[in-house]
Amino acid sequence: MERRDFLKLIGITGAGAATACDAKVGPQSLIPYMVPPEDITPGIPTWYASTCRECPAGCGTHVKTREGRVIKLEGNPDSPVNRGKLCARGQAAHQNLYDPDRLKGPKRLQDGDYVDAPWEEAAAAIAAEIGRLRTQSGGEPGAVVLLTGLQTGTRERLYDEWAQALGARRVVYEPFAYEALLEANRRVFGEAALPAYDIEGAEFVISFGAEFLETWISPVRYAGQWARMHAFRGDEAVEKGIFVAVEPRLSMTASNADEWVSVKPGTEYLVALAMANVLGAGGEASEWTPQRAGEATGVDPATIERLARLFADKRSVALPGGISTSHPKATAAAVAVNLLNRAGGAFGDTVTLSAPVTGPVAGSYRAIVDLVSEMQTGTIQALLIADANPVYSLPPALGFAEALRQVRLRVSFSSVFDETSAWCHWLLPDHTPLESWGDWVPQQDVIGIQQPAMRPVFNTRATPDVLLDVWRAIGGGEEGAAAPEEATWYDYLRAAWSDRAPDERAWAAVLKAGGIWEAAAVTPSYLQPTDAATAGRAGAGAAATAEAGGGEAADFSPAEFEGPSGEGTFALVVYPQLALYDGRTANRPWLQELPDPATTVAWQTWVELHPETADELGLVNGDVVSVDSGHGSVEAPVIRYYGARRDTVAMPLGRGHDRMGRFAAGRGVNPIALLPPTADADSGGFAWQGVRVQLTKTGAKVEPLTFQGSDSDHGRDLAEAIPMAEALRLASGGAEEHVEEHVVGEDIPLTVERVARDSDSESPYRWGMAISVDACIGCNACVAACSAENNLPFVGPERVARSRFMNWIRIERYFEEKPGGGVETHHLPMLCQHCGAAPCEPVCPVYATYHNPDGLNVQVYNRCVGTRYCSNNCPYKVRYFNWFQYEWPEPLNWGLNPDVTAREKGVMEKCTYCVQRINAAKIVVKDQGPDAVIPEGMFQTACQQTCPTDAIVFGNLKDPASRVARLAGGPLAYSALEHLNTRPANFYLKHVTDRGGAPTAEPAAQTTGAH
Amino acid sequence: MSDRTMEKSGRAQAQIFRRVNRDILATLQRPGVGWAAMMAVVLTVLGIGVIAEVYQIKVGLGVAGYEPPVMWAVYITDFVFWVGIAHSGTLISAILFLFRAQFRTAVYRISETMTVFAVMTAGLFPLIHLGRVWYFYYLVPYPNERLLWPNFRSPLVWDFFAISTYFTISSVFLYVGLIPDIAVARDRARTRFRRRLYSVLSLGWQGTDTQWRHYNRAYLFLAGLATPLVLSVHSVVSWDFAMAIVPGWHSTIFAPYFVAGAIFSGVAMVITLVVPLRRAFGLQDYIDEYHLDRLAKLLLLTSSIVFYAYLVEFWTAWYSGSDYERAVFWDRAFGQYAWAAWIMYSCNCIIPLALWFRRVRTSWFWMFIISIFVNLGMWFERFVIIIQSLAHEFEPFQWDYYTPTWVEMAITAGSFAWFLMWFLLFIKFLPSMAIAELKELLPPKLKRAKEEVEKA
Repeated sequence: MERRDFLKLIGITGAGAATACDAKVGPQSLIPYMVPPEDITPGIPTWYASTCRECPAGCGTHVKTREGRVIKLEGNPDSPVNRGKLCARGQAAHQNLYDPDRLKGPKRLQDGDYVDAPWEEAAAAIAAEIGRLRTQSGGEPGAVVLLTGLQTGTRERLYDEWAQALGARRVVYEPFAYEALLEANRRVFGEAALPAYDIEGAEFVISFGAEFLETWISPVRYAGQWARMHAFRGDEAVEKGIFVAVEPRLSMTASNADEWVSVKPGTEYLVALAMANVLGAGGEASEWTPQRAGEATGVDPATIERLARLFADKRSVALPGGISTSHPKATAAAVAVNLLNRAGGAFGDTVTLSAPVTGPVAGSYRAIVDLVSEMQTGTIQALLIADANPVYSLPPALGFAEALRQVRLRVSFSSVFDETSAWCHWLLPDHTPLESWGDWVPQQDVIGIQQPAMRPVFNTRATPDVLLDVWRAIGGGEEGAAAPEEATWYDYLRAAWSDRAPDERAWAAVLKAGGIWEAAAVTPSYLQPTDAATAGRAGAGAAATAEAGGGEAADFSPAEFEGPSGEGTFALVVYPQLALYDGRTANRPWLQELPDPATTVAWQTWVELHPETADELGLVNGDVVSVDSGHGSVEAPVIRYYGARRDTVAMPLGRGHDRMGRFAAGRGVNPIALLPPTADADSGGFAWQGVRVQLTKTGAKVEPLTFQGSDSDHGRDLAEAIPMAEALRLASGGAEEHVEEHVVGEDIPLTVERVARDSDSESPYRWGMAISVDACIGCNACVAACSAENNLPFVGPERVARSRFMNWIRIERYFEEKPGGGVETHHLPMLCQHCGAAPCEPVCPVYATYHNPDGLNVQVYNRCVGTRYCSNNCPYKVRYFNWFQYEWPEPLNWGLNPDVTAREKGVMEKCTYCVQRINAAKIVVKDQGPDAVIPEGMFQTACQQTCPTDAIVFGNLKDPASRVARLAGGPLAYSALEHLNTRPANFYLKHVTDRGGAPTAEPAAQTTGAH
Repeated sequence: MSDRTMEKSGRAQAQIFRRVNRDILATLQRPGVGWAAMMAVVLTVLGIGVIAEVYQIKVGLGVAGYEPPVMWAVYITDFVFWVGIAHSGTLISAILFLFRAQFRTAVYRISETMTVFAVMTAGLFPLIHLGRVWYFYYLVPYPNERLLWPNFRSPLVWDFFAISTYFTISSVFLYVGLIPDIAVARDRARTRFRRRLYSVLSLGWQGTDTQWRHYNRAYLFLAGLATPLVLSVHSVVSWDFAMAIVPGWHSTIFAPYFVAGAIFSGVAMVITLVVPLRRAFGLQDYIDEYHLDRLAKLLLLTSSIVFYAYLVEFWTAWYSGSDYERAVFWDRAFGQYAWAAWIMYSCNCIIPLALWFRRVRTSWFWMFIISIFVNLGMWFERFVIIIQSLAHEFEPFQWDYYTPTWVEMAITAGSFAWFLMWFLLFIKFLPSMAIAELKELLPPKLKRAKEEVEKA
């Protein structure tokens, strides 16, 4: 940022603060600080507690603003949902706020073009139109539909009241709605809710396709729970739990499992059923012996029995399916998992309804199918769409877009011009969540508050405000209620909170805390299986559906995949990509560039094929294949991936937008085009799985945008592993059997004490990290956090093709063949090691990189001339070069962190250990006297702060009591490429493997010939 | 012997000397169409190279094909290639002078000019490859109020000194050797401009006894000074690599290996230049199969050293037991850059085996072909060492494959054009053969005659 821009910014924000959130003052009016605003001190960040709205999980956030600009999001440590952590999507949320291609004001379609229309005009026109349509249709309710994404809390209440008052209907559509889970829960214990799964308290977790570390329901919460259940860091000699994933594809979640049970798509729940059978579930489960299930699923019956025993012996929980197992039998699958939970005694123990996740509303796909048929018949006169992009996320075969054309009035409230907006007459952009008031109820006992962290960037308006205006303009009408007295959405929200926050003091407390969490207030309601389930009949479903009036019994035959069969055809698995979810985050360039945890691909949609299958078809990475399901076809490049099954191809969701701005449009393809509009008959949920596809080589070739060089670490001391038994023995004081004497140059083994001496003897600090390879799940949240904190540019697909990505921290994903067959996946965070004997330092001809007194290896951008010798000499390859002057299209540059230099072309950069945070802490500590030292935990690096599994621990290695020094001195610590004697300040903690029972051979997974 | 005989013999001698003068100075005549055409091509290619460089400075180094972890690529390959070319010049002019190897006389001027121009070319590349070339002076140890000096531990700073020293010495050496010849050219210059030019450049050379005595001393001392540089400069260049920890670079054999390689490539370049030059200017009487044979033997010797070094590298990699070294060399021979490695092995080791045959050594055609192959092979040697080693380093996650872009190719081609431009100018402005030394080689009839007179 230039000095002038900075001054302008101060002026603008001053103006904003002085006029107290009045949206009328344009940013053109520069008002100097005659009276400085009380809450803005240039150089000091202001934090606002809020709630992340990037997915329905509703994590609490702290939004960091500087001079009136949002520059970073961090998790709210008090929020029971995420405990201070955020995922990559949360970390990149402000790139939505600053998306240069957002709608900049209300627009109206006129003669095929969108023209600007003032807000007042818009509300009046829509009110008039709705009024007219209502009279035309004879006041028939349902002619006007408010189609929204999942909403909870006050906003949902307002939407409902509005719809009711105006004789309209509200339809909720959420692409990932988990209808099957809700339906199965309703059938098995009579309540259509998402229970709380106590992963943390379990000793054995088995997931049947639930991507709970990536996207499933509340991934940050579950990742934290999983880490507390599973991660062994060697600091205490307590055996940690076991995690097994039963999935048709090695998802990131499964890659963290101690065992990946690869099953035929559509059959994974037969494993659950057979396990329940082994545990004596009886009923229909008794038909599924391990042998029979083994035949149907391709899983060794012995494995099923072993897993069943484990499930019974330990405190266990089974997690039902996510999107990648939502096939036409999804409800039966979830019922099967419920049966296993019941048979294994998990009900009321690890699976409770004590604080049900509010979660998605049931039946949303069914509702939209009905809506489409109503639209087709012309029953729907007006459709107002908020927080949903059905044209993109529904299969084209359903014909939503065509049906939409039958609707007379179409209004979009989307803040970006997306595929659905493109069909609408009115574009009335909503604020992004960071500019909005609101609240969110992620689970029954948690209400998160959402407050605007800055003034709207563009001329946008909160959708509830627009609806209130429309409501007021129409008036109550005969049957409808009059518009509420509250003038604005904020007043409405405040009124809704009047009982929880009666006075301003209480309200301020709520805003400060970011919500209220009333865990104590909710009485646990333990799950009571319905009669049918108690009777031991797996056909609980049958009874329940019969009760619900019709429908067929849950039958447990494997889900059939329709479509082409024979040579060159495969079952298709589509799955939500971690960074892009259902495609709503595709306009955030950091997320487009976030490497996929499994394949490390960015910016493009790929087709995952097992390397051997690819060999048979003569396909290498980047060969474009045509994928044809009979319902549609797309073309995408092949990526060879060891986590794909031989009989399956997998494709990620989230890309392939036609609209949504420069970062989303035209990137990749949308595999939804391949899907038929099939629903799971029992729940009405959309069947994301269920087609077979034909692969045809097109002969075209594109550069595969992978970050990964080799898939294996080739036995180098990078990702190290240790069996659980051995780790336990060491942690409880056992000596290493064969002490590896890393006697290096100075005859001193590489210990934390030695590394701590690599700073000036007068300096009280030697900063370092202890990174647990066992805890790291590869979710890349740290990458996004680092990007936001350190102004890391996104480089775009052309440059990713040449490996010129700028992520200071990256997750290396290495496969290792297990001795018993199958693969072990290691996720290794790699960042600057701040070596004591850094190879980069002596080779720099101009001292642009040197060792500072605190032992940091620092890079002086001003001095760097760009010889790149340092990068050549860095064995860890963690230095990144500015090949170009990277651009931040206005207003993306508003999100730059003013504490960190934006680098010029031609200079080298790398991880600084967030030196700006170190220095900020030093400045504070300096006030406390000359000898005061930064206490442990006073600040965190950005990556450590957000890591959902606490895999990264940062601190002072010179303080023997610090957590990092204790972990680094612990039995599992090692240094990457230790023999080079670079004395890295990053200690890694070994991956702890071989927990509980011998793994089975997985013929589908081989790592030979990696690379 | 009578005065008459002596006079006659002296006249004959003078006749021969005149012919030498005439033949060599004929190269300085008004350029023909061929020369002009070559110059036009050279300037066009150079122009494209300059445009590419300006584009690269403007847009950023990313327009080159760099693909991390390959942070050094074709530019450094070119740099080492041209420094290598520079080496045989000094070897031939200085070391062989000290060893009194007479075959050098015919070719030493060409190889010396080649040295100077090659260093001038090589010196461009460290600048071209900088991310921020506009701050290149940070590499220069200049006094400043912030007491900021370059990092004297960095091999790149050593490089700076090695190259600048080498350029100074080799250009002074070339110039001193030229003085008597410039005087000859001055005496025969037809145009005013040339006379003026040569008068200034010849520093008032009269060819007196005293001048010759001083001249010979100076030349000897300069030869003595230049000799260690032949070994040191390319050793320092090799340390750019050997001092790094990159497997495939970090090797004690690099200094002798690079020096031998440099001489190898330099001799090949001399042959590449001499063969057409000889034909173009009808210098068959001065450069004959005898010279060619000697150069070929030098080529064969250095080829063997290089061959040996290649073998030793593989042996060391295996014998070290280091996984990283082994992986790099396995990858070199059989990995993604195997094509480049095998170009290098064939051109530098296999093809020069033909030089064991005298008939090949004395064939102008075959020697020209072989020299081209050696040039190619030595360029690929640097390409393989630099790029393949970087592409297959410690971190398997960061293994990658680099391919150059048009910018790098244009600048590389431009560097050849830059070199040839100077060379073409040189052969038209200054004698490209050492006239005075050629005369020394002629049978010293005059001297003998004088002795006979005294005896009589």
